[in-house]
Amino acid sequence: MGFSTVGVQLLFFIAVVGISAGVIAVFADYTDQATGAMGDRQRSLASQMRTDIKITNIDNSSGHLHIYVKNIGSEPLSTSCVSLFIDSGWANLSSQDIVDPSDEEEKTHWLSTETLKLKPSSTQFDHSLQTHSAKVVTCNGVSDTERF
Amino acid sequence: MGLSTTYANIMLCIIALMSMAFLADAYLWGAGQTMSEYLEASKRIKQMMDTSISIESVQVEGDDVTMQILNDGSTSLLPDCADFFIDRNYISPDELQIIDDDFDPGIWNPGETLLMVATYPLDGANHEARAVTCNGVLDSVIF
Repeated sequence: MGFSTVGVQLLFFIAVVGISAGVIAVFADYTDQATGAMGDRQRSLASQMRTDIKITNIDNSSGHLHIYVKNIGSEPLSTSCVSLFIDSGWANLSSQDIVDPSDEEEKTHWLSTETLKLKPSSTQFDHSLQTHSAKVVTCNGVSDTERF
Repeated sequence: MGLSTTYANIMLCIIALMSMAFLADAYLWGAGQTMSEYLEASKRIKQMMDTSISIESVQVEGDDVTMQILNDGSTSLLPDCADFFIDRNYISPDELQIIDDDFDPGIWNPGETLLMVATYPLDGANHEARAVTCNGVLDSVIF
């Protein structure tokens, strides 16, 4: 084997090492991202499975609308991103408070078994309907609908 | 077969095995977590199906409203996280106690009656009382 053959073999070897290192890096990145995405999806799914809410009372008397929703799941929820839909239309909330909070901090943390009172600032009822519907959606997309 | 080919084959084999191991590990971890959450959710639904309450009586004396609520389901409940409404308004109980609570004190067991007293001025007839358990099961009566 001449010097040139050894040189060519050496160059091929270095090239293969370089390419395989690149392939390893790409695959490692791919598996890392795939694992991370699967973990994120799993966490989101687990959070949704732990979440459950129920509209327990709708007070539509004396010209106001108050909706009481109980957190009957095991996931602590945030009161800040709760959405309310009346007759399928989005309702702007003037307040969303935990009833009987034990302290100030608890006003924004909707813990398990606690009840949230929602007050829409203005309600656009669909007057063509005889019964109306209220739908409450939590931050992670879990919802409950009640007719009144 | 040269050294570079052997090396390349070994490396490709290692890469493939490592990728499969990572993905399988992530998938199995996810599947295990999902299964455990699914079991928790099933337990919660079963508990809701086992829960039932019945407002046995509502008495009004002056400004005091007294509700007697029977746990007629087959699961034990916590009285502290129950909600009460009169005429669709949330009321905070002044007094909340389980009648004849000799067994398992503080727990609202099946067959036991919860007594709730609240101050709520009422006038006229036809009012609605509603009680909601911690897991969202409710009963309401017109009195």
